[in-house]
Amino acid sequence: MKRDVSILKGMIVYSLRSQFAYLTSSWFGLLSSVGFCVTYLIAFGLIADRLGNIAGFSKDQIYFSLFVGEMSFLLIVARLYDPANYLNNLVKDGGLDFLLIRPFSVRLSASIMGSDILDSVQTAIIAGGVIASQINWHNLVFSPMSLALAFVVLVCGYYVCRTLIFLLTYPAFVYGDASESIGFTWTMFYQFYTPYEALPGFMKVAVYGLVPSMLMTGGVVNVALSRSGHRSVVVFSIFSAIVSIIWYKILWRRALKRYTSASS
Amino acid sequence: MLVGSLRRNLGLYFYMMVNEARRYMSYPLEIVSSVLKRLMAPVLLIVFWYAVGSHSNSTISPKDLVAYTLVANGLTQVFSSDFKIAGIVQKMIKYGEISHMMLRPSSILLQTFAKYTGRNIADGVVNGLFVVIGLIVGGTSFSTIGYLPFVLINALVLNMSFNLLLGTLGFYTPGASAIKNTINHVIQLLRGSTIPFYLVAPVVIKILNFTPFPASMYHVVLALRGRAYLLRPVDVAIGTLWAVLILAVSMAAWRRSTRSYEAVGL
Repeated sequence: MKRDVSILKGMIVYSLRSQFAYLTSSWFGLLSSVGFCVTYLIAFGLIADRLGNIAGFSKDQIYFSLFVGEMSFLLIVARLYDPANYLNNLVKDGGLDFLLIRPFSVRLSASIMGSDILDSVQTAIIAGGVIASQINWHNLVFSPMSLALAFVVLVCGYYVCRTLIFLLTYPAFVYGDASESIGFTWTMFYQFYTPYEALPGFMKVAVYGLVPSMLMTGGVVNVALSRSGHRSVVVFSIFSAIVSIIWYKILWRRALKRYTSASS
Repeated sequence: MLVGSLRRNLGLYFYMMVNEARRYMSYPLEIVSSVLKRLMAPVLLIVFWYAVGSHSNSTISPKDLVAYTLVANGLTQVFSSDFKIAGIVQKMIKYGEISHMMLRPSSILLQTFAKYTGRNIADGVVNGLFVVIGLIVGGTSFSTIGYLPFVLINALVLNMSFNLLLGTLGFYTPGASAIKNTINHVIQLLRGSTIPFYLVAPVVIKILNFTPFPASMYHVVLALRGRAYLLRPVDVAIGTLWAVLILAVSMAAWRRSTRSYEAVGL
C-alpha cells in the first residue's frame, strides 16, 4: 500500500512538472477555449433574441447547456482523450512493455501520466467562469433531487464515453496506431447542446444512443432542469453505463491479448 | 511569381498531390475515420438546426436551416475556411520542414496547397456531396448565376489570404496554432458558418457586410442557393476590395517573414 502511494505520488509530480514546463502553451490553449465559449455565447444570444427560444430552451437554459457541455468536454479531454493518446503512443513506441512490468495499474498510470490536469482545471475555471457569469441562475429551477440525478447521468455518460474512447484506441493494439480514430472524440463534442426533448422519438434514441457525449451534456441538462423525459434519460444512462463497464473490461482483456510486445 | 511557378512546375505540383493522396490511401482505417468524422460533424449540426427550426415560433423552416448547414459545411472544406492550410504551414515552420522546402526550386505555398489537396481528397468528395445535397434539399435558382464567378473568386482569395496570414504567425510564436483556433472560432461566427445569418437581426448583417467575413463564405452560400434578394452588388464589390487588400497584406507578410527566417542547418 505504502509503495503504491509512493508510485502514485511520483507519477502525479512528474505529470505536473511536465505541464508547468510548457505553461505558455497551456495559456494559448486557454485562449482558444475562451474564444470558443465567447463565440457561442454571442451566437446563441443573437439567435435567442431573434427567435425567442433555441429549440425550446430560453437563453439562460441554452447557456447552461453550453456550460455543462464545456465542463463535460474538459473532463473527457483530461481523463479520457489525452490518456488514450498517451496509451496509443506507448503501444506505438513499445513503451507499454515498461508499464506492464510495473507493479501498478496500467490504466491508472496512463490516465495520470497522459493527462494535462492543470490545463483542464485552469480552462474549466476561466472558460466556465465566463459562461457562468452570463447565466441568470435565478431563471433556472433546480431541486436537490434533480441535481443528484443529473450527477448520476454525468457519471454514467462518463463511463459510456470511456468505453467508446477505448474502442477507438483499440486499433492501436491491432494495427499499431489509432491516432485518427481517437481524433473522433473531438467530433463527438462538435455539437453537444441539442436539447433531448426537442428531438422526435426516433432521433432521441439514435442521437443519444450513438453519441454518448450527448448524455453528458443534453442528458445532464434535461435531468437537472427536470424537463420532459428526464426519467427515461436516467434509466437509459444507468443501463448504458452497466453495459459499457462490462464491454470495457472485455475490450481491455482482448486488447492486451492482441498486443505484441516490442521485446517479444 | 506564384503564377510563374505554377506554369513552370505544374507537373511537379500535380505529382506531389497524387503522391500525398496515395500515401493517405495506404491507410484505409484513416480514410474511414476521416470520412466518418466528416459525416458526423454536419449530421450533429443538422440535428441541432432541425430542433431549432421545429421549435421556432417564426416562419423559419427546418428544411431551409438543414440545407444551409449542409452547403456552408461543405464549402468550409472546399475553401479551407477552417484554416487547415494555415495549420499545415505552422507545423512545417515549427518542425523545420519548411527549411527543406525552401531549398527546392518551387513555391512553398503551392507545394503546401498540393499536399493539402492530396491529403484531403476523400474529405473533398464528401463535402462536395454535402453542397449538392444541400442544394437539392433547400432548392436553388439561376437568379444569382451572374454573381457566382465574383463571389467564388472573392471567397477563394479571401480564404487563401487568411490561411497565409495565420500560417505566417508560425514564424513568430510557438502558440500560433492556438491563436489560429481562437480566430477560427470568431471568424466562423462572422462569416455565417456557426449560425445562418438570416437568423440574426438585419442590422447586424448590414454592419457585417462592411467586413471581409461574409464574402469569405456567406455570399457564396447565397449565390449557390439563389437568394438574390439577400445579395446586393455593393456587398460583392466590398468583398472584392477586401480580397485585394488582404491578399496584398498576406503576401507582404509572408515575403517579409520568409526573408527574416533563420533555419537551423541553413
